[in-house]
Amino acid sequence: MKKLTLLLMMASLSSCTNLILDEDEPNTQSNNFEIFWNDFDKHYSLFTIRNINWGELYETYRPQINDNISDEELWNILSNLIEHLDDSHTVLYDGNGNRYRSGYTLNQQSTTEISEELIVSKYLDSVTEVPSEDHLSFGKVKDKDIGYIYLGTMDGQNPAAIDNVINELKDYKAIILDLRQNTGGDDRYSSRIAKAFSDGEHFIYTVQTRNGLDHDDFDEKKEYRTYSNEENPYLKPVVVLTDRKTISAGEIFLLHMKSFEQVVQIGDTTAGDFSTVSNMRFLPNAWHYQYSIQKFLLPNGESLDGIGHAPDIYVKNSQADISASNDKVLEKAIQYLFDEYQIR
Amino acid sequence: MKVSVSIVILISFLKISAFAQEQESLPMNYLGIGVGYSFDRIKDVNFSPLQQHGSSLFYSIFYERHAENTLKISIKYSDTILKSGRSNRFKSSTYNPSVSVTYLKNLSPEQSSNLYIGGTYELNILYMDWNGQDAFSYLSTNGLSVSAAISKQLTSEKNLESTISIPVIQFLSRPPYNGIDEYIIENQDDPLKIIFNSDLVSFKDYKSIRWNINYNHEISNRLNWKVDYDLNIQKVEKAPTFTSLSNRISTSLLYKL
Repeated sequence: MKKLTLLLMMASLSSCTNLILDEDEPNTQSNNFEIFWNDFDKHYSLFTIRNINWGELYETYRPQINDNISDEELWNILSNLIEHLDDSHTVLYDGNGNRYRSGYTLNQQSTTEISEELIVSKYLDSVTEVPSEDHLSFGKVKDKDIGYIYLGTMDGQNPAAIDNVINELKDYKAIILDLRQNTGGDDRYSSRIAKAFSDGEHFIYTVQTRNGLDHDDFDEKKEYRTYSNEENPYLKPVVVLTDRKTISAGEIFLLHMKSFEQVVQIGDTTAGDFSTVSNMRFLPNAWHYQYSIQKFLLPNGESLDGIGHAPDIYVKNSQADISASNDKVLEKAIQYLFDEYQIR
Repeated sequence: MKVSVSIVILISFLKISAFAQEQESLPMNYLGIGVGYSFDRIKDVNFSPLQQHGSSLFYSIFYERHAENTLKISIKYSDTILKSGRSNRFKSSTYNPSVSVTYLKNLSPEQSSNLYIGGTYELNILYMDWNGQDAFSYLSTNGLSVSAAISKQLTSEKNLESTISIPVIQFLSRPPYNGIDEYIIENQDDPLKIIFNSDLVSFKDYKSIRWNINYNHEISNRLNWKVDYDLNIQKVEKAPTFTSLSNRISTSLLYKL
């Protein structure tokens, strides 16, 4: 009797589960596509800014899907779909180490257009790494009265470390701040680093997060400004070097820096991907993905998403330049400081 | 502030009832510790379109004061890995602390079967993340529930009790529409600020039911042994929607003070 009661209890609990929670999402190729497309449709933030007709893309790609296609075919279809967004914050992962990043061709190519070893050996007298921070180092340009800072990420722990770096470099007549291959990170880190160069408070951008089903549903604009710095800002000429892989919080950093009078940007156009990325999203087949959920606008209402920061002086290295031990971007910065300020 | 208001209301209620109770019977005070197993299923649309499922140990420490009326204070904690996706490849870390205070007034004193009615204040936090916060979500509720209980004295040492609670005033904290927004980014170093950024919700937006049945056996003058079964269903209708079903079986030892 006791066993029967227990069995009845278990059965009632099981049916209770089915009553409360619907059936889980089926792992079919069609359903994986539908979840993926619909999730972007409801949450992705840049359809309007990037001029994407997401519904039209559904009509293009949905007919290619049936439950009998292979995983590889589904992977290619989803990759082709997100490539239209040209947004390297949109990434598809298969969980086995493979990933597809939208609009990443130029970013990827730029990795061969810079060489840390070349910079250190040919152009710098000395390099000191800041131990508490990832990819933050500084030194002096060989035979020049110019300081050099390399900042490869905005993901460090202590952005105030930049104050010590500036203190070390404050006597040089100019600083070259190398942001090439900056992988982004935390926007707050960017704003704190920029404070070291601040000539005052400037209104530089607004942020809105998508908050509804319509592609143009966004929350209230939040305004962001540069920090003012009453202590020891570095107000002598600063040249910021960029390339196609200067991205996200690296580009937010540029929004700060380009509002300061003494700053000029030399190099290639940046990636043009500003938004915070979403939480990781999941599919029944165990693939997962991320996308942009915000839009950043300049004070005049324009967006640099999909465009990037165009440099004041355009120059880029080719792979051949690097192979021939020449960093034309860094050389151009040194030449610019001589031409404009007679710094040698 | 919202937590404080709920606590003040509950304490006022307790004080009035405790005064009445002092004149009636000698209370029995118990301090207990318990351990149990929880079987959980969660569908949190903010976190994933997939259902998360798993089981875990949970722990509790509690105080009970039994006189004509009953006061129960408990703290519970569990953490576990919930699984989802093909071959359960997604494994999410889940943390679930809760604190509750229940006061039950006896409507039929001096009988072998008793009917109680009262209220519960509960703070319940559920936080889950995947791969070091590459994805995260949370549900935090705090507020008052109306509770009803029946108990049956089976013998002089054995007692059976069942309680049901339904929330009436609840403050709910959930992630925004897109999981992250400017507020979360700015306060990411202060998770309590995010979790307690709550709104008063209507019964339409948040529904929950908690049902407990327990068997209590006095094994000595100082020690009781208790077995509990708890069913907890939560449903957030407001986007991003959330549904959870939790079945818990636990056992505990109570020391008579």
